[in-house]
Amino acid sequence: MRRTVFTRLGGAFLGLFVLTVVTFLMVRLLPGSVEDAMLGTENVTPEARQAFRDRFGLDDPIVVQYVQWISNLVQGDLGNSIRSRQPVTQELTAKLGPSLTLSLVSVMISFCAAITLGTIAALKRDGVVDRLSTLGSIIGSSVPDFVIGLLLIVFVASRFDQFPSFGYEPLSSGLYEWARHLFLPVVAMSASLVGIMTRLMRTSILSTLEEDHVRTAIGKGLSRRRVIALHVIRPSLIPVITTAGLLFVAVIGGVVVIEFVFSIPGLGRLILESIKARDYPLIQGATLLIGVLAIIASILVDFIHRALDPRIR
Amino acid sequence: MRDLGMGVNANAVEAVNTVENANPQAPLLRIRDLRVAYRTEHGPLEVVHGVDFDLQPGESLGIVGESGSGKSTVLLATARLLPSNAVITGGQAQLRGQDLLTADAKALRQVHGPQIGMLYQDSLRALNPVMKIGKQITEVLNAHGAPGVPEDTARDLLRSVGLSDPERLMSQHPHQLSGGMRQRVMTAMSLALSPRILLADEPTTALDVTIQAQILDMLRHRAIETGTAIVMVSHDLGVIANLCQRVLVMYSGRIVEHGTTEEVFSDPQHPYTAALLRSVPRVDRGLRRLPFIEGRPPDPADPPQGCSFAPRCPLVIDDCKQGVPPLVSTGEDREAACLRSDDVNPVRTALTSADKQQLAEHDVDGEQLGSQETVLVIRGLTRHFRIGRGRQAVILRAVDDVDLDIRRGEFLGLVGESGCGKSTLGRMLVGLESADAGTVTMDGQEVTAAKGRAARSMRRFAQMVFQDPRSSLNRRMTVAQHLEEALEHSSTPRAGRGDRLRELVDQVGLPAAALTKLPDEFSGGQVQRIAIARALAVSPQLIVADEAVSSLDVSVKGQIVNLLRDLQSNLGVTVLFITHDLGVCRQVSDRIAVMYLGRLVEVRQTDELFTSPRHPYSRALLSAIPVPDPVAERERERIILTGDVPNPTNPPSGCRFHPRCPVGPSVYPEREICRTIEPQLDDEFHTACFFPHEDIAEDASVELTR
Repeated sequence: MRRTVFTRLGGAFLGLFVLTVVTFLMVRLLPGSVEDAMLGTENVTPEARQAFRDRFGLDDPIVVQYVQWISNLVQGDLGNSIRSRQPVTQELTAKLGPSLTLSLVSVMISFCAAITLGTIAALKRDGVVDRLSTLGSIIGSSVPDFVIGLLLIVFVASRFDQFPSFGYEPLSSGLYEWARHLFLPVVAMSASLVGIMTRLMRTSILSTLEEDHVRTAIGKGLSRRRVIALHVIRPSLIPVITTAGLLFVAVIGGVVVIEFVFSIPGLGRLILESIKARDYPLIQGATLLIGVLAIIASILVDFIHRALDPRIR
Repeated sequence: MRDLGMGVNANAVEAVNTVENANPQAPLLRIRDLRVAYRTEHGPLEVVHGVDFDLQPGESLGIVGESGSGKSTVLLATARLLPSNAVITGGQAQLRGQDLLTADAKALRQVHGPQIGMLYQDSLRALNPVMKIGKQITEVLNAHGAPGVPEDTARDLLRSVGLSDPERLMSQHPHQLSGGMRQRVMTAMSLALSPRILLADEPTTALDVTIQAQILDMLRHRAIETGTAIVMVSHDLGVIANLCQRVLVMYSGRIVEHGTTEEVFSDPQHPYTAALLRSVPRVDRGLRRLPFIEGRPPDPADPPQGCSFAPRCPLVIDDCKQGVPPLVSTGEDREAACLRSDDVNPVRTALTSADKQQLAEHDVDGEQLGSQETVLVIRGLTRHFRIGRGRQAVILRAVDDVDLDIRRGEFLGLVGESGCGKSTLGRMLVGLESADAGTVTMDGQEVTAAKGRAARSMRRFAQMVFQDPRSSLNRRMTVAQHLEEALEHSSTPRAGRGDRLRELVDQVGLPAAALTKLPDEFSGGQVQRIAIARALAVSPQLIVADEAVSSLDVSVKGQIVNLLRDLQSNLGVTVLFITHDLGVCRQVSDRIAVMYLGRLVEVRQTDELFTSPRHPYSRALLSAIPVPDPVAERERERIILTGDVPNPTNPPSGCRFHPRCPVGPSVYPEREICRTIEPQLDDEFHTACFFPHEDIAEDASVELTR
């Protein structure tokens, strides 16, 4: 087990390395010079350009530049944002909280809902829950998130003051404040997630029910509750958890739209605005951050998967 | 531990006791007119048409039949564990007066475990893959409120089925155990509450003969200890003869014969039983061909008029087609469903002597063909696989320094337990696996290192027939397309290919109309014929048949083996017949090579090997095969090997068989040589053993079986 942990972490570091190389090259490979990209083309004197080139060693060989960039990165220095002139790391950490919260809460709530719905749908096949959840899954996963978000604003937020249509409150301002601001965006994000995972859970349960070991469990005279919980649901969870982890990675990248719809000051909005303003240092930093989150998430999923499925240990 | 079940539902037990007291003759289990149907697109399809039988306390009853006979369905219906697409459409199943078929879920939960224990064929699928062994056993104990500490009881149970390290096992998962160990775990689990009845569905079919012998032995002992009655479903008449006192023979959803095992096996009263007994490959009598049953079982959706065996029956008369013959008593505790039950045994005896005559004739053929010319010379052939990566990697010695000469036109059997490397050896001969060391010389030409054109010409030399014919053919290609593809690589001129196609299907006994059909339109035996035709297309010198008949029913198995045998004598093709089934191997092979952990331990003429096996492993292997003769089964001496097949990644030093050997250093400590020096095949007897053909001491084998 310890050995596999090491190999996994080794793989993660390799992934991290590739990620830094790609993000580093991203700016270097852009059309035009780096100083154009980093400083913008307006109101920049030639002296300032040269000063910039000297400061970042842009005339050095590219490997030296990369090493320099990495050593700055390790010290938390990703340069300054062009728009705000603030350090990139500072900008990112300020916006990370809302995005991470929104993504995590959405995935976790969707996961729990999907497990419950999928199980009931599979056990009571062709029953009311099954039909409704199938219909809901199709709608949820086919209607774009932002449409659901807008509908929620029009029909819910406008009528119920408890659920505001914009803004974000950190947990430190109180559980209630936090939850009521988060409620509608989470619902909008979860619609498709619940849809995907419910269908997966339902299929997974149905195939587990056909397995011989379930018959063995019934043949042991166990209670129905125990058979379903330990011999049906538990083995069925494995593919759903793997998918939930992958969805989490996708959600972190895709949170942009919902943050925009609900005016949440998160990472997604920051990226969107940076792209519009061609704020390359920030885009670079944000790419790196999302990449790191994705790597961490995939390692976590891998370990959970191993814990649940002894066959792949 | 004995009466764990008793405390559970005291009321039920008491109620039942009253019934028992009222009628001491009442059977433990009484099945009457049991009918089961499967839901299909075209409405319900009845597959079990009214089955009656009784089971007495402590008795062992066998149900035998081919696939599709409904034998497993009867078992699962009795336990109310049928799959969701099956429904019980009628009848009664009474367990000491309690009707199982009308019992609700709550009542069934009290039956499952303390009253009925289940044992299944595929132990890997039947155990929960993500739950530890210990928990899978303790949950049975907990669910029924067994007294004592569940973990302690579980350890005792694991010990009682012959597992030596229960502490470690408790925290392991099913996939970490070998097939034999898993089957022991399942037995421990199903007998945990000392149930009245153990329902066993082909529990040893997936196991090697040596392990099968261990499990049957263990089952018998445990059943006696717990006083459990056994209903054992099997297609293997030998297994039934070994374990069961009474037997039911089923054919297409009906019981066709019933009686004590001795009587049914020695004096069958239904032609199907007789045919089944005749077509079982027997290790205790030699024939060069396998008798088989013509035709195949009826399609349940389209049953024949009258007796369902009539279309295949050699004794059929007009009355047979008038109505289904009822199961009538033909003697004390004997029943048969045949109008001509008295004529069955005389005909069988006549047929058996006809078989013997056929044997004599074919033996003449065999001698003519048995040339001494060597067609294939294998020297020092070795194949090691690396498993895992980096420092974790281990070397699996699949084939290790094998020497073998194969003679032109011979039928050579290659036998051994699973994992012994016999398939790898076969795959190397047809070029599907490369050699790490050693040479293969075909007709004087070395092919081991051949590449490109030379390697392709080797493919023309040797062809392979696989175990599962369906997955070795493309479902979307017609038979003609398969054969044409193969002909692309033959020397047949393009113009003559149409004739060649017809010739090929004719050689494997299929009509020319088969050419335009897809593989799915054929039965299992026919698909294997197509696979053989494809192998023949390039006119190979050698056909490697890797477990080619193992998945076929007894009655079809004979047809395919005989086909291979005919091809050998008619076309002069050499056959390497790889199998774990020594019975089949004995009946058709000219010579047999016995393989153990990547090495050949004995290569002998078939008759010599079976009459005087020299290597202790060969002897153990031969003695492990159950014979479908209850009297012989009971009386013959048996060497039951202990332990599992050792791991080929870490073979024992010296003679690889020494840790399990009944004449080796574990019994005779002074025989250090077996531990240190690896014996080679000797020139005279072709046996790799330092102490060949030595009497296995009575107490030694007892020591080892325990």
